[in-house]
Amino acid sequence: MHMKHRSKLFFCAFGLLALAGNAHAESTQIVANTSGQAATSFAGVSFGSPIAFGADWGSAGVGIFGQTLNKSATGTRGDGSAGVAFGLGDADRYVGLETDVSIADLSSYNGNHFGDGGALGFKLHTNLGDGAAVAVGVVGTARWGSEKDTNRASVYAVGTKAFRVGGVSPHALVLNIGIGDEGFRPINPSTGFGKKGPGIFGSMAFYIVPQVSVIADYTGRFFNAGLSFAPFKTQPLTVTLGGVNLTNRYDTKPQAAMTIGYGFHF
Amino acid sequence: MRKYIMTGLIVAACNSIAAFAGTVQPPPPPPPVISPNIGSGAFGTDNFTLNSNTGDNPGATGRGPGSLGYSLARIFFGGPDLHFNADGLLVDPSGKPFTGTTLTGQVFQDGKKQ
Repeated sequence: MHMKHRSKLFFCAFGLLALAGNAHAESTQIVANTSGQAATSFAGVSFGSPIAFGADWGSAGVGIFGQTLNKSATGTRGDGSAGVAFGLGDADRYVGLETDVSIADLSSYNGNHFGDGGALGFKLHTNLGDGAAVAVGVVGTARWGSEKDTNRASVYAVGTKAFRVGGVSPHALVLNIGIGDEGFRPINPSTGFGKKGPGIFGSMAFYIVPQVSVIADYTGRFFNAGLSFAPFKTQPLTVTLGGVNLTNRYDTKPQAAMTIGYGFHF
Repeated sequence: MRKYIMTGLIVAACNSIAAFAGTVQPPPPPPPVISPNIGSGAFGTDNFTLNSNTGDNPGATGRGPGSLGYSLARIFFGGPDLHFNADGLLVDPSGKPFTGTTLTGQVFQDGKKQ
């Protein structure tokens, strides 16, 4: 049953991607840059949920994530992980494939050391034009080491669109909604993993200016919120600070979290 | 996880002793297995990392005209839409050859790429 649900999700999403790819394969958008400012530095879009835009050939990203933890419940005051991603393909003309490698255990509280565990993620995505994209993906697959038994792979399909808000001094709103299983579902207390079946996740980012955004995010499991900023105008460095699990789910308190990501082109 | 296994063994041992004494108690409900995973599985730390570092960083989502970075640039910095006319010149909506820089960073002079 579980596999059937996953297969359906993938077949539906692939069909959507095929249609989308054909629809915009020949479209191009050329727009004059009125400000002359390098359009390379923007604040973040989500704080936990995957989005439909992704890396394609020529794009890559690296970064780290860290969060506080309740020491009495987890044995440590905090933990985090690091990741690197790169893209293949062309999401504007056809599809892009973003491949992610994540490495767990930035702290060694459990006897684990950095690099002892990790996983791969893949995202097949296509840009629809006009600030919209759709994607299907999997996170937490091909796990190794300490991650092998403590995580499970999660598949998802997601759509994202950027909207202009206001006229003379515009702002931007990026809405993101998706459906996924496992990590996008509430926890089953008897197993510690996600409940069976699909769950909804989504995020909303309001860009006050290009380099500052306010984010609300529901991962399907936790509600998170954060403030993201890009400190340098010409560097694609994004820092997001915020709180995770703000609704005290599973009798656990909210925790502080931070991500630092750097995207680059080659 | 080891802690819960040990707890389970102790509970099982206690139940066995209680059964032997003729005072069987119903087994307690299993404890929620949240703590061991909270740093990674429950909060999805590893997934969170990638989503936060790559997927949600517009700088890492491509640079083509359909990318998120381009879409945001168009909202904040974009001017008129341009197109190539029959002569291969890049022109603005009024048909005037374009001089300047596009959002993709290409420089044009009188409609011709420099």
